[in-house]
Amino acid sequence: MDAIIEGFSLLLEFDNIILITLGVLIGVLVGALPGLSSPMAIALLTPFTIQLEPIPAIAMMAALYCAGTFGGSITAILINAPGAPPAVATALDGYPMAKRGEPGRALGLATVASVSGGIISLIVFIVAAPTLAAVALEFRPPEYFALAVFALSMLASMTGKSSLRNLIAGAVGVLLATVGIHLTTGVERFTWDIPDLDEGIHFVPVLIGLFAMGELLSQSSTLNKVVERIEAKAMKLPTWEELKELKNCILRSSGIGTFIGILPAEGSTVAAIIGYNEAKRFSDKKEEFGTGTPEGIVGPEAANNAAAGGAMVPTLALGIPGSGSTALILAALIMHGFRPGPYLLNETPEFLYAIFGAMLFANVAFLAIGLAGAKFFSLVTFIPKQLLWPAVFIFAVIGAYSSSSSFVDVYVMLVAGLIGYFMSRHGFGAAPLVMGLILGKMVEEAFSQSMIIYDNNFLALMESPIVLFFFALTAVNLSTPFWTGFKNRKVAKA
Amino acid sequence: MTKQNSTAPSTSDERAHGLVHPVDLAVSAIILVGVGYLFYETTQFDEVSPLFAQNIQPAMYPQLLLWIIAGLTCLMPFEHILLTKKGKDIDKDRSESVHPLTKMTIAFLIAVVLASPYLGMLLTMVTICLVMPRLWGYRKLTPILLFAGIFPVVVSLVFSKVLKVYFDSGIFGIAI
Repeated sequence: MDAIIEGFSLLLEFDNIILITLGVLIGVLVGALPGLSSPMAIALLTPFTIQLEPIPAIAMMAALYCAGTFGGSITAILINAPGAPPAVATALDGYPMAKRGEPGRALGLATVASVSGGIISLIVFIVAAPTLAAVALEFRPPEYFALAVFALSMLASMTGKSSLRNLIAGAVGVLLATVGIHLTTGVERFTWDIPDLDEGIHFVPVLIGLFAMGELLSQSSTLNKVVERIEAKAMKLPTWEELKELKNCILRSSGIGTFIGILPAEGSTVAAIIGYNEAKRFSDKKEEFGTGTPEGIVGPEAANNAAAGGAMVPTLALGIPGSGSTALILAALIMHGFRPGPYLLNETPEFLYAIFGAMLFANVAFLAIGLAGAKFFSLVTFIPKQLLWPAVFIFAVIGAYSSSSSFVDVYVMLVAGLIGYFMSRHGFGAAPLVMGLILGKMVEEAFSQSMIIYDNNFLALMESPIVLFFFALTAVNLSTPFWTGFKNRKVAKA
Repeated sequence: MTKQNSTAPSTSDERAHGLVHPVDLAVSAIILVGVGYLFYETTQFDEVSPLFAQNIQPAMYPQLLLWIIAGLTCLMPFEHILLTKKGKDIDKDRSESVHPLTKMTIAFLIAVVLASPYLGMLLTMVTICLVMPRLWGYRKLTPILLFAGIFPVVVSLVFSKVLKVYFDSGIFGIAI
């Protein structure tokens, strides 16, 4: 009880309320602007939050994450271009509804579904995170190693073009985490006598480069794309009758979203697509999907926002990121000197409640922001890309520079951006690489300790049923893309 | 890298008929060369006594990862077969060569970042605000001038005064 009071009292401090509100505003704005995304905004924000107290800093990022997921639906509905990937399914029915003259209604449905999904997942989060953390306290290095391997294997099913490339990017991320002085032996690895590399790769410039610069370069080739914009004058909340009709769809999608969010590496985009498909499958009006049906909007929106809350569960309870955005939040936690995982929640439970409170606040706030600022947020889509992206570049340069007041970090950011751009062209995602980078240290530590415990006998790891369980899940996970490919081939032949 | 003749059929379709995807083969080869070099680097790591290292030499774990990356990379040239069956087009984003504007943007970003220690942060920001919109084809001069005049100053004030970020003033000594 003390922890709950302490956690919430931290949030009630004036400065913290301002920071969280700012996080929500940035999140909605970034989500609403096509090309800008929550991970990018979190990456850009990270260096500036280093000077803040850890709890408000992480709470601000968590609020931004929630609001960014919602913000993406604004452009999905108004210009048929999802502001963020999780809103991709919202456009399927949101845009047709807006086009037939009901943009306010479409935004209202998306907002109510987002808030409902977000709050439901937060209830699960507040119950599941401490429970999971308590279970994880029993984990020894071998169990942690198996869990981390399972989390990395989940990259195979992450959204993207190719499971194989996601895995390669993840493994490269883990390899990047080995740069620097080996903690056990003090031996320098991959430092090439550059002192700046002794402490390992600096997260901030790499994250900013991969997420912001890579996207900037991709945007430079789409400047001539003309989009039809629909202006929303005001948001129209759904009626009570309409809500009663949509209740089951919202609840179902919230459950799906929360569950998918909890799975390591799976994020809001997968949740939204499954939420949309399930809404269609259970609907009595399947034929209306794609023409602007309310279920086609609330299904994906409840699911993608629920996934945001769900993704915080493994992130805080196990130190395993639930999505690309939470991987960045995890990186920020590490930079603030925390060691994410069960000990964090057990030793500083007020931390959990503060994050919960911030996300709850964010969910309520974007309902208010949506109601009051629908017109404004529909106008931000009119900002020319030619002015927007130079501003992003400036924030990227300052963000990379300010992390250690060094131009070397700006060069690192640029190189990471160029690599990110060419990786993306060839189907390698930035998010798997970042997740590998974040998990890398934990994987190596758990692996080394396990090998010491079992005297270098890898097979002895299997003595633990938990290890066996995670390895079995890993095997299933890795074989699924090949199995589904084979199944599709048989169906095609038939 | 994947420049395509405008009269030719979709390269993606052509490649789908072969066992080995030529572009992925080239990408795999580049990765494997990198892996090979890094593996060589691991052989140069200092060794410590087995007692101190507790049988886990510093090179062991990176070498294990490099083997995994190499193994996965070897599958890449054949992956298009599976992806085609799933209806995914791996060549969608690379079927055309890098857009000329992207190349120019890359050149500008490199130039401005290399010049930034000399220009200082404020002039770097002004340069970005003036050049990038023009480079990207924005022709309205007044908004550009307003953007270049106001945005860098506001950003400098917020970051230097509120967030206490130290901005280098460069060789011209211009800073806020």
